[in-house]
Amino acid sequence: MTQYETPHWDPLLKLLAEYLVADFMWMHEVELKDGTRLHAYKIFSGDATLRLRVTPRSYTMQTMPSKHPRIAVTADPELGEALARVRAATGTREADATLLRRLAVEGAEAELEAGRNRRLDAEALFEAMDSAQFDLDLAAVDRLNAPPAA
Amino acid sequence: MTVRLWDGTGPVLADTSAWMQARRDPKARSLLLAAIERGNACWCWPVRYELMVDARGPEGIAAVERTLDGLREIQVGRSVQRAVLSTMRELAAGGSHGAHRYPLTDLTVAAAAQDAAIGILHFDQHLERLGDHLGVDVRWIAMPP
Repeated sequence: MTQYETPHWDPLLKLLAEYLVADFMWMHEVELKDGTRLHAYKIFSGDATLRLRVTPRSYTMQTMPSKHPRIAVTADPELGEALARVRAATGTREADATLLRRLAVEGAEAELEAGRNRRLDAEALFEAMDSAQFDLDLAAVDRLNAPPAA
Repeated sequence: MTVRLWDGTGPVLADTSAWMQARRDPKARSLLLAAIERGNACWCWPVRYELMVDARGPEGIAAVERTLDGLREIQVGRSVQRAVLSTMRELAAGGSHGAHRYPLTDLTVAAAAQDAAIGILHFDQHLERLGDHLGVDVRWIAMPP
């Protein structure tokens, strides 16, 4: 793979009408051993990847069915702003999908870690209660909940 | 009376009485700790005040602060304060003399839970009655006496 930053649409536009090209996303550019440059495009409605030479005298299409299911994520303004903030803060140049996946994996671990920390803090609070650092009037709670006298 | 016992699921606003019961009841403590780890236990200001008042000194206060800072806060804003007043008016109008005289913490917890559309976890029969009045899902953290 030679690059995945700068989209190149000409090979596809030589094959398809512009309105059809809108259904594709450019993925990356590959240079073969013989110097042939290929651009990979993926159609939004499936997992097929179309690989075209810069001069489309010929082309090959390979299907690349992923063995893993896909997750649809709506690229709403909130998500866009979140990714933009991460890019601004870290300077990362990862593609959106790559960045999103990494943040999801790291975010899941951060979420679990936060839960473990919450539990540790609460356990410390109960230990403090157990070690007489609190004046909990438990008898008052019992009196409050006692059934009314007959 | 049907006792609505908490099964440990769903987000809940933990009343001070739930924390106190969890202090002495291992099963209740286990359920509450699990909910805390999942992020399902919430707090509001009156509960925080009460837990802090019960602390004997800085160490206990710090333990309360660290714990509650990690949990979701249920807001007690102007609308909740207004709801406390209207609840007292309704209770006074619909009951016998002094029917509106509930502990202010319980009234505020119940109104905050109603405002946030969240259930209350408790060990306090006042909250059973307030929950019924306000249409809030109230759950005992353990079997009442």
